Amino acid sequence: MDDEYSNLHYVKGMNLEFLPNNDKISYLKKKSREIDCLLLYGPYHTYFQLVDIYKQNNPRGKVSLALDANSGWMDRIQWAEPGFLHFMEQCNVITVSGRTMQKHLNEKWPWAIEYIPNGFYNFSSKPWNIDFNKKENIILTVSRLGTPQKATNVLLEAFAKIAEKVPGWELHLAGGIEESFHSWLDEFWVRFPKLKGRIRFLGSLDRDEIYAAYAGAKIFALTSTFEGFPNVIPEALNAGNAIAITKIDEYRDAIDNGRCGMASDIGDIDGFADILLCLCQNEKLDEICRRAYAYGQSVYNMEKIVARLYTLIFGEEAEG
Amino acid sequence: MADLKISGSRFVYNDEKGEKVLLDCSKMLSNKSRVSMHRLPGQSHPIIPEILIGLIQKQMNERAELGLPFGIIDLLLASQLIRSAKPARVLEYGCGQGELSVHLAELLGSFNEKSALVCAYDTMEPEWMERISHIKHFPDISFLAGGFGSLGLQSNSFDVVVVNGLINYLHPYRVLADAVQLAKKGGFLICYTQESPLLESTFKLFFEKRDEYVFSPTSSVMLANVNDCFWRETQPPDVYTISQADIKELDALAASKGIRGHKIMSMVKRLNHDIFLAAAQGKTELKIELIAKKEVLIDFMVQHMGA
Repeated sequence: MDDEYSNLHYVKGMNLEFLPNNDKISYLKKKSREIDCLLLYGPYHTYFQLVDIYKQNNPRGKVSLALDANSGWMDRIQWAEPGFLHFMEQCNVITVSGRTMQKHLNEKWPWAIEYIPNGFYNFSSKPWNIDFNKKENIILTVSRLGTPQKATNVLLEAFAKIAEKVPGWELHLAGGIEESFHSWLDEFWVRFPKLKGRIRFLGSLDRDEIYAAYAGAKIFALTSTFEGFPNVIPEALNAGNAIAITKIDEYRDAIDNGRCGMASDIGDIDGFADILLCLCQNEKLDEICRRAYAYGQSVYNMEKIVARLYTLIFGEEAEG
Repeated sequence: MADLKISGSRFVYNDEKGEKVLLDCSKMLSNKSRVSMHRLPGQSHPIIPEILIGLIQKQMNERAELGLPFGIIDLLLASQLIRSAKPARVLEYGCGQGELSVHLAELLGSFNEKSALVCAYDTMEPEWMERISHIKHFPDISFLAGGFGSLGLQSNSFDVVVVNGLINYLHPYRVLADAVQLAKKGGFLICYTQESPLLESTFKLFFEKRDEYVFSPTSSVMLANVNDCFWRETQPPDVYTISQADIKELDALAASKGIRGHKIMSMVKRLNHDIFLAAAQGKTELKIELIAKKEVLIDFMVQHMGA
């Protein structure tokens, strides 16, 4: 269990219970009164009955729903249906991880939507010290490489377009590669054999290795076609990476409205190549990286985020 | 020659001036309504592009020359309806035999069955009744047989007023003046002209700033925001009384020294109550403002008191 849940040692005395046959209903019927707060991720239909059972058995218990929202999913939801309305009205706190979705849903839905971003916490075994003088001319991406969502092909094509103009730069890609992506890669290497020395696939890295990769890079690139708010962004910001990103829902949050990165249209290879080039050749790239670090430390500090969430959920009762 | 095309999920109007996207159903963040812009395979709920295409196709089958102007009106109305989930109130001036009424009714009813459509004309034509009886999604429909120029309805009560130019208006100035005072502040007027040059020129006098869709020298649709009408008197601003006292106290609290955690949480509790009331009354801007104030309070507490 220590290997699979490696962060357990951070929370001394915490117990994990695994439900036999995944029977959440029976568990809640028995244990609701002992549960102060039900934390839910995503407004799934399967949660509706669970919340009913929890609230029936523990009317004073709290339900906190992290919507895990993106615009496509929220658009599809038939939110005026009685079942969904009833479910949402039982949630004490409803959160999203980005400002765009918060504004959108507060305008669209009748409930109060709070902002709780995905944060960063140093779970590695080493202290978190970013030495900007040790950063190299590396563009890094961390994702499930080759999935349609992550659109890794866009990043590779964009880098290929600018490679000659930024001779000292490398592209590093961390993460597992989708089986179906290998054939595309083979064809890519046929077109750009010279780039084999400048594009490195790092594979799946452990926590220490991945943090080292962030720390050594100057630019973090993400070419996703859709996302809620990707966890890699707070990690990259806290490592002082300038951000190159596609215009997913929360791209403004990711680049702090242009102060620590740039964005291009989804699927636009030329556009992404332009922003990569602009960042790589930017005389003030070091300043942008430092700005990204300060922004990440300020907004995506996990301890502050958790304290805020705790206050939202339990604050009124603690008032005394 | 003007036309309307559907390109992917975009409804694009083309004329000699160029292209204009009237509605882009891929921009899901623009959709605050209860109806989806899209759906996944296997789902069957209605979606906005299908509703619109259905209306346009039905019109093309019945009377093709009205397909383009009515399609434009459908899109202009839909682009207003996606801005909010609240029921909308629409007035159709000069409903006649109901050819446009069915479009307005079907669209309103599809978006929110609590929306209201008031159709006004001299008398109720049997064709109007017949057409209305066949619509599938009913809003709250009323028919008003009234004097054009003074329908006697409450001022500032309609989100959209549609002036249907299939009808001849003896006094278009009075009709438009009435329409302007019946529309809400920030509401819209849509005017369809069909061989009604006086109506067209009067609308242009009322609204220098307008969108125009010209199909022929004698047929057009124009859209204007009531706020841009130079005849309209300035409306008094909305007053948010619901939480002014709390916001003042909050600002004073933020400026004071020696602030205590329990005082902050007491304020947060009151803000939660205000947020609930604002949401229940549909005061979205106030709700958003209060959520932002609460966030500042909680962040202050987390920063300085280690909550």
